[in-house]
Amino acid sequence: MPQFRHPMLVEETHDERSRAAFIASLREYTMSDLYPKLRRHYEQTLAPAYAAAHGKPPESPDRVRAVMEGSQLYTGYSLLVRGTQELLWDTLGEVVEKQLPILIPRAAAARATRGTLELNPRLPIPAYTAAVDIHVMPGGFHTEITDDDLFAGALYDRGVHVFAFGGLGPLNDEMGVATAAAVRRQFPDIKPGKILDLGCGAGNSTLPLADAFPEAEVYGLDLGAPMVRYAAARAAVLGKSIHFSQADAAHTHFPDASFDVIVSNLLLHEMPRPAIMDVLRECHRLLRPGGVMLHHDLLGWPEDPYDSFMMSWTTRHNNEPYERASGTLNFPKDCAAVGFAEEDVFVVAEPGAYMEEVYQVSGIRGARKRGTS
Amino acid sequence: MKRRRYANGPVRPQYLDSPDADRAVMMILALTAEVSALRERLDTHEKLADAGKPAATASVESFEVPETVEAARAAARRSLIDRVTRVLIEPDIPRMTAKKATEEA
Repeated sequence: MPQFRHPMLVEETHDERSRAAFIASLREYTMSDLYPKLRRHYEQTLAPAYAAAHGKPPESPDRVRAVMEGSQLYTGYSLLVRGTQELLWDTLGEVVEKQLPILIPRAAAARATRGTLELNPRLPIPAYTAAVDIHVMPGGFHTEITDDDLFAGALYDRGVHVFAFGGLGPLNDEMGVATAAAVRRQFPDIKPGKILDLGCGAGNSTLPLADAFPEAEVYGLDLGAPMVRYAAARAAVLGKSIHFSQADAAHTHFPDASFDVIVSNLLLHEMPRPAIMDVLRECHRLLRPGGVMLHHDLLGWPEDPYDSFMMSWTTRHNNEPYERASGTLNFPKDCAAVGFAEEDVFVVAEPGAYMEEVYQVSGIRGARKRGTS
Repeated sequence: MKRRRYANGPVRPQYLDSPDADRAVMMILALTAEVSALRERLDTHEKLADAGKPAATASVESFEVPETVEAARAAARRSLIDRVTRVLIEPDIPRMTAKKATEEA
């Protein structure tokens, strides 16, 4: 499904569109074709060969790793996926960079029409994210390459669509839609006045909150100034009034008890455990009594040695070093450690959870803060 | 204004027997994207000609790809990828060396 061409989306020439389409096809080929083929090869050939030699199948992720790294199919798969990822950012980055002189003033004009944007040039970028450009995206979410920069935001909005070969919908928002629907369905008694989206990126998952709760004031925050500059402009051209700010989800500038609902989408798995704990603690501080937090991300870590090994592929090959930390939380106890009651922790079965068919351990979980407002 | 073209973080993992071989594969991927883009541009020329229109730059750039044409292009991209990546993703089949084959013959 093609991406919705809103006025902030980078414009592409005929050849640029074709290059992006080729990269999306490569992504689809590796994920929809090679990924299941690899599992079949492991189950039908590699694991039985190992069992014949050792008397039992590989019993740990490390053993699976040794088997897989000796396989031409796995090596070829990994090189293709990594190569596609680098090609994606470089190819789309070239287009975005070329268009910055048009996009930057267009964004400023759009932001003046609705919504708000608050930047914090003195915000410290945490070492854990400054050291590693997540997803091998050069510059990560926060690097600025010019004045009033929005490069990272424009690149991410286009890049996610190509990466997911359109699988998150024309607005890259299906995760956010599922999260917003979960709030409505699970907590019909909550009539949120203020909602906060943590690690909002280009705002793809923030806008569905405004659609689901038209009466609410919706806020989005992200570490990256280029992200929120772009997100604010994108929201404005799509007709949504949203308050974006550059902030660290672990230590925000909002006063205590500011929000009825706090959500995040695919944020926690890019954070090391101490930062995740800080985010959970910050959610408890920011929620009003009776308010809820929902995190759409990993729910656990697979026990099966093959699944566990394949889950950690992104850590070794896609600059996502902290993924295991979010998958191995003891979520109820960790929530209790920051002030929630353990029995107020929940997991939501919501259709549309990210890559559920691949990872089988992703979904939405959260906690409700005690009390009534 | 200059974007960075490499990512901060751990060094790129090594996949084949040398990092140079990995680089060559990545270069081939970029070139294959270019072949695909050229093929699609040629297809646009053909579609315009089929409709009796001149393939001027502006009409190529503004060509709206009909759904059936896009489906055919997607299939062609897929075939191209299959052909280019075939040897990279061969399943692990035990192969007889030429020497051993000669000995057994």
